[in-house]
Amino acid sequence: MSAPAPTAAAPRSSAFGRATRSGGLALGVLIVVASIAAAVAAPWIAPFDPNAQDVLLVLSPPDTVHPLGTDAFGRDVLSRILWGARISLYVGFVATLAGVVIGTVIGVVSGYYGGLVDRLVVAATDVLLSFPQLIMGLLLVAVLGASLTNLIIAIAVTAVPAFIRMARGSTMAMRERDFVDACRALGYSDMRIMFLHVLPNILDELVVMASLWLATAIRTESTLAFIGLSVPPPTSTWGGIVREGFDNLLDAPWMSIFPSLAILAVMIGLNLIGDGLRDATDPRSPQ
Amino acid sequence: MTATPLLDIRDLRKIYKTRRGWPIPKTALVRALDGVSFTVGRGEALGVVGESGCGKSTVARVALRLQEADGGAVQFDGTDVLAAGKTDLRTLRRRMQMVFQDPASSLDGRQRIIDALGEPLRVHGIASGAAVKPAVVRLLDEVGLPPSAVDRYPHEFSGGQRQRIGIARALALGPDLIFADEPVSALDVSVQAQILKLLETLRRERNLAFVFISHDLGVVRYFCQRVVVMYLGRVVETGPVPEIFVDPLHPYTRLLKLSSPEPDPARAVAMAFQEGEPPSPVDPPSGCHFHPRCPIAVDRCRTEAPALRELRTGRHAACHLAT
Amino acid sequence: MTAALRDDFIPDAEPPALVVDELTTQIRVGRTWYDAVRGISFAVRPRETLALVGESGCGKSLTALSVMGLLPAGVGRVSGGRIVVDGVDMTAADEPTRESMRGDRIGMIFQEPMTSLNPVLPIGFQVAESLIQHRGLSKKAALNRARELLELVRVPAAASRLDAYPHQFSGGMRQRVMIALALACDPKVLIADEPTTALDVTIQAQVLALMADVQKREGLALLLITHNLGVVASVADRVMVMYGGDVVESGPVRAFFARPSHPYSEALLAAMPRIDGDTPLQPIAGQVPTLTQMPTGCRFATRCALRHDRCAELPPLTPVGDDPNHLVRCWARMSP
Repeated sequence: MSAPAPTAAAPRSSAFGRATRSGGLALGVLIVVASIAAAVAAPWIAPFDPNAQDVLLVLSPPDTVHPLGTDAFGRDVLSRILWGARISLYVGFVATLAGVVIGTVIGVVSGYYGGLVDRLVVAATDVLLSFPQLIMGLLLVAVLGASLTNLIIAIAVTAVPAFIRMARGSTMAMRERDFVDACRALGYSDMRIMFLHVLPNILDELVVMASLWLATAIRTESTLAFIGLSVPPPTSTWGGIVREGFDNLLDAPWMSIFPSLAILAVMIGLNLIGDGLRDATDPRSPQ
Repeated sequence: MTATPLLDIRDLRKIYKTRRGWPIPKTALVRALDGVSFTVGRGEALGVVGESGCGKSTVARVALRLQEADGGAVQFDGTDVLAAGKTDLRTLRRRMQMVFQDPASSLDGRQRIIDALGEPLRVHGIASGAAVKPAVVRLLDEVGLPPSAVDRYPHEFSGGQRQRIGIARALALGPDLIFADEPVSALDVSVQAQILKLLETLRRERNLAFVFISHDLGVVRYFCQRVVVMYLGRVVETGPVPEIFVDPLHPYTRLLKLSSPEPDPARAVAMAFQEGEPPSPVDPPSGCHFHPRCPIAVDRCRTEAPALRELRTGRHAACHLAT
Repeated sequence: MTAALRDDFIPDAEPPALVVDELTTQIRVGRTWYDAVRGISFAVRPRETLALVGESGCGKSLTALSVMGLLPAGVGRVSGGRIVVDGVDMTAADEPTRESMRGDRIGMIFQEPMTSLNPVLPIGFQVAESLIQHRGLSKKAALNRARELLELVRVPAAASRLDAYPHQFSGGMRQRVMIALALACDPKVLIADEPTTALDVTIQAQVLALMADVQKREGLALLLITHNLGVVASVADRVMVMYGGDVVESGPVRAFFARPSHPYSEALLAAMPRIDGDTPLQPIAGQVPTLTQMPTGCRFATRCALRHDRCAELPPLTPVGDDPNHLVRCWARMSP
């Protein structure tokens, strides 16, 4: 029998190659990485203690000492935004991660087995998805009480049904492929097939959706904080800082504008990443 | 052939429910397998031929328990396959394997070859640690691929090479029987011949039995010793090669043979016009399913389904009129 | 039936409906353009069937796409030669002219009848559409003609099925609808790219019979693209075997099968398992080189048993024996 040497398939541009060629993705990564770095480095780069009040410098407009001005208690807005980023981003990341993991596990299992369990899961997600996500978060925080953990739980719960749906659909599509049958014929356990074979093949789509959901999670947290359902004062997240500035919006607009811009920048960054990843992982997208 | 066959399929039934229609869907029953029986001996290649919708792929999937049967019995080397519990099934799967039509779809694109072939060895405790790689290299060598293939991904191979990998994976557990579902249909003629030669060598060297599912009579004649012809979920003829092709007993086998193009202008395909569409498995014709297309059908064929009768030694056909 | 037709067929009676002269088609890989079809020439006369046969990557489908002017822009291009359809030079024509030729004077049938029909439009409308566009018929007249066409391709109860949707048809019936669609505007040339490959053999036989019947009745020149030498033997008048973008052998079907002369043609036939008779199967070693790794000269040389030094230079097409219609491109098989 002849032994043909493996031939490299026609040069195939990798997902990574396509991703790095898209400028939007690079910009998105830059924005998000910068935000995370600023949040992590807050204790060292923040010029002031975010909770230190200075009664002599109340509602001071931006100047060289306080680049983003001060608030009604004379606290430095820049420092508060930097420290607030720690909580806003932390809540967003942890809540999304929890939502992705729980939603994916349920979705993969449900899509893989099908049957009665699957029908119940679908019905449950339909009910959950019929609540607007913000109302859902609002309800949960209102019931559980406003604390960091409860905030994360509330936001994670809103993400779970979306990821169940996505993972379930992708898993069902994968089940149509022969390799799942091949795995079963080889006597692999269902767990092994679901999490070592199906999951890696649907991970691309999940990562894209997770990056878009991260933006949603941060926005939800900001919204909840804006209406007062977030970590208790004096600590503040971005949404909280916007809220604090709201009473003096006409006199001291910097108090609300700068944290709003921070939220906006991260939203844009994450959406650029999500869209960029989607284009990069979609083999049909033009190169 | 030994007295007890390796695989014994008796009266196997599989019914799919389809719900179609709007606003009130109607449930229709599709009898994908309507009492299918056949046996396969050790080291024997049995061809299962028929057109799409005849149930030939379903046989393999049901016999491998990838889908559950709705009736009948499957015995593998004395073990009741359909009643097997988890542990028994695991043992059975080491001995019955499958090769798929489309190797691109049957291989996990994210797995390197070393993992795709090493995983079954590890899962079944056949090899572990440092012993995996030499075992994988041996498998690759057996299917005619170089050791350098281990670190590559499936997409780096041509269609024929991918099918070799699919075959190597089926061999990994050292099976006695391989269900091959159209293993060469997606390949070019020259590559198809390479793969057929490879399968033939494996059959002889490993004394492997095959259930070889194909729509191509030429391929089946080359590779198989015996043939089962299926039509709309039923077996219509069985018999040894080459007799079943030289002198088909069932009119459907005859039609299949005459319709198969041969590279010989003196034997152009029988292109007599047959009007109408082939019957749907959702709503098969009464009596003998083949009667609407049959040139010799009589009234009895429309009402009474013919049983499989032995007409010559080792040759059976389900036709009232065949002699 | 076809054998009889083939016997009383006189090839030189009419001018060819399709002439392809020294066609070269290139494919872009990365930034380089490679010759995927190298200077092929042929002519198809009315009522004649020419089969282009070869394995994947041989250039047969690219030839068809070139003739139709449907090469994907930026990836494929015709870089040389002429294509003349019914007297109109397609290579010199502008895009509007080519568009009006497609579906009007050239009909096309593709492999996948499932994907070539629009799933949300009724069959009758899809057949009528090209009549409305190319012939300016009224909707009523076009639908009337659509019914006649469906009857021509033997769709049972054609009149009542004008309103049916593609999913209500079986694969074979859909391919009949595709043939009706291709015939709608009385084309002179019909190009069929693997028209029966997706069908079961008994249905394939029906569709081949139908195509042959319609072709002879309507006086069409048929260019049949296929990988199946059995189909070629059954329905073609002449055959061209392609390998790596070159025509390696061409000739009348009987002469070709009686005396296949190129080592690749022989190898292809030896690699086909037969239903009648036990043939020892002879695989062709190796595989088709990729476009970027094609050898210079004869492209089959890397897999050929008769290879010698001269194969580094591309051999010309020369007659086999004293048959001027049967040509082979091989140094080893050239008549002395």
